[in-house]
Amino acid sequence: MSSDAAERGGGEPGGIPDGLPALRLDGVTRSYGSRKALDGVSFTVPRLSVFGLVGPNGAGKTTLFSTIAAFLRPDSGTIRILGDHSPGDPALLGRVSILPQDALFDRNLMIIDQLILYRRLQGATAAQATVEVREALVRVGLGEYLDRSVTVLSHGMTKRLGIAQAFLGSPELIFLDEPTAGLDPRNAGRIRRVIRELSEHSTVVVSSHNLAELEDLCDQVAILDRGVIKATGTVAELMERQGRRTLELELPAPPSEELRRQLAAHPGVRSLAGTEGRLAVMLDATGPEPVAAVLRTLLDAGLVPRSFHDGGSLEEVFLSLTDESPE
Amino acid sequence: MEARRLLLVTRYSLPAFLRNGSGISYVVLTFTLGLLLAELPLSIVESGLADLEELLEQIRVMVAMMLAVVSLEQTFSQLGTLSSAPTPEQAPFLEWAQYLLNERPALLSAVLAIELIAVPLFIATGTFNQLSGDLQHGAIRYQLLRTSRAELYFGRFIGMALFTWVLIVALLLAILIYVGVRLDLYPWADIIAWGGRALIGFGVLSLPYVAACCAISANVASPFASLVLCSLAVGGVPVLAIGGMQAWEPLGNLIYLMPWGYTHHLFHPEASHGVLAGLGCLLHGALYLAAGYLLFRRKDL
Repeated sequence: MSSDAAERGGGEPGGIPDGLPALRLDGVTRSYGSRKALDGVSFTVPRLSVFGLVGPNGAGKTTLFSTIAAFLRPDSGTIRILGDHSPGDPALLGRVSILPQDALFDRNLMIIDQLILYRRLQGATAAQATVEVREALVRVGLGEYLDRSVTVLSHGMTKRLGIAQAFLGSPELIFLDEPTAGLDPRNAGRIRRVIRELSEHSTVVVSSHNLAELEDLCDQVAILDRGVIKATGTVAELMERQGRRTLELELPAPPSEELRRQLAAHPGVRSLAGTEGRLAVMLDATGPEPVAAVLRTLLDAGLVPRSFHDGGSLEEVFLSLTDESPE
Repeated sequence: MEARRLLLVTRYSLPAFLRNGSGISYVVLTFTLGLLLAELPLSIVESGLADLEELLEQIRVMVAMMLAVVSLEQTFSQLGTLSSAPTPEQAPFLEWAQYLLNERPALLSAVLAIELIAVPLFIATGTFNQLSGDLQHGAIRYQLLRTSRAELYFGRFIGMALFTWVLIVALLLAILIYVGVRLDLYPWADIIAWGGRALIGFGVLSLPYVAACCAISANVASPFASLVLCSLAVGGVPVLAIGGMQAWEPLGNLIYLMPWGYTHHLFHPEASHGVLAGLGCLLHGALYLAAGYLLFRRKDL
């Protein structure tokens, strides 16, 4: 943890007046010409949570991040950050950071020099900044590129560099715009671990197309489509609100047609899907009874599930709310 | 605005600028063209092709003509009459030229008169990328949550103004040393005194042009467009004013959109003219900076 964070109580919520969320948006609207990129966006991000922002391409996620970060000005609405601060408030300098989606680093400065500048702008001394920058780069697997230019980095490495700069100085609120896009599975996993660690001391807002990732990482999500927030809440709340409950099973062999008919006939079972050994049973009913009935039928037929997951996927909710059909 | 962050922005802007293409081209252009232009009057003396007295007379007329043109008292079409029979309106310029050539080291004055026109053009083609490149590529976004827009804007301006001063000082020192050592025509005391005033004059003169380019660069997210606009703003204003004046005299006042109309007073025989011209440069610079910042403050980045 950096000394700045220590001074603030390690990014503790003590930096924010009691009872106030890390971020609150109310009716935020932003247009590009006649096209509304954000249309009355309202939601709240609790302190020390990981909040996911989901939406298809062009939904307005990057515009929303840019508006909160004061890169863009909203046409109307209010944004309150870390208490009662508006975007661009000098009191927020160094307390909020962002991984912008399309920003490039300066090609004319060495990587370490750029990050040292960023950290020093947050108040660190040169020596302190150097130590922290080295640690940050090692943490994202770029320790050997300290004295190089960004021109030698691949797309994935540049993304990791962007993430390293975002958590310099342990900011209280961090925005990550598609942090794992373009990363290989190993590095995506590394970044997810970093995000989990960050969330112990900071509030993290993540946008992503990787819905499984958000489902795994986030305490709460908001679904944004064509500039409008379609739903917010925990993944479980969204499932319940949408009446979507799915029992996902991995079977040693594909169920026969007869077995499928028996399963579909159970009360509370809406439909079946899946191929080969994977079976998804869509349920209408709540409670353990329909799950027990399905499992009993499978066991009676000699199919012992290798694994099962009772719930549903964020993807289903996302697709249903954004007018797309699951494939 | 916090001084510590302002200085950090200033400090880090210089190596980044020096390592990119526009920084290198600024240095190369200013030095090669600056020295080439200085060579024009010097080479005539060096080659021994001209009688010095005759040459000085020619330079006197040339400098007087330049003073007349930049003061908008004479247009190009009227210049032909200047050397033969000066009118009462032309007389002050010939006296001014007399001061520059008789009371001050003449060759140095001739060089300074040329550089007075060239330096703003060098500045326009060298300082157009103070912020526009970072705006285009979004690099500025990494700094925006750590420093204010004001610190970024003024920090970059200060960095570029300092860099320009260093460049001008180096260019003038090269010229002064060359004139003093190689030609050995004037006492060192005269060269140093006139050179000192030139350093101050050009230092003040550079500010409004660097400020204008900063204002343009901060509000145009394309280095190429910024280069075109800076060149048009700095180089186009005198062309527009002098050309427009031929059609309708009041259009000549367009020259005051930039400091072109009065910067030659930095080298006027009367010190008060020099001080007023310096204040004019500072005022012009402050106006450009303020206008640019007001736009930048509200700009989508």
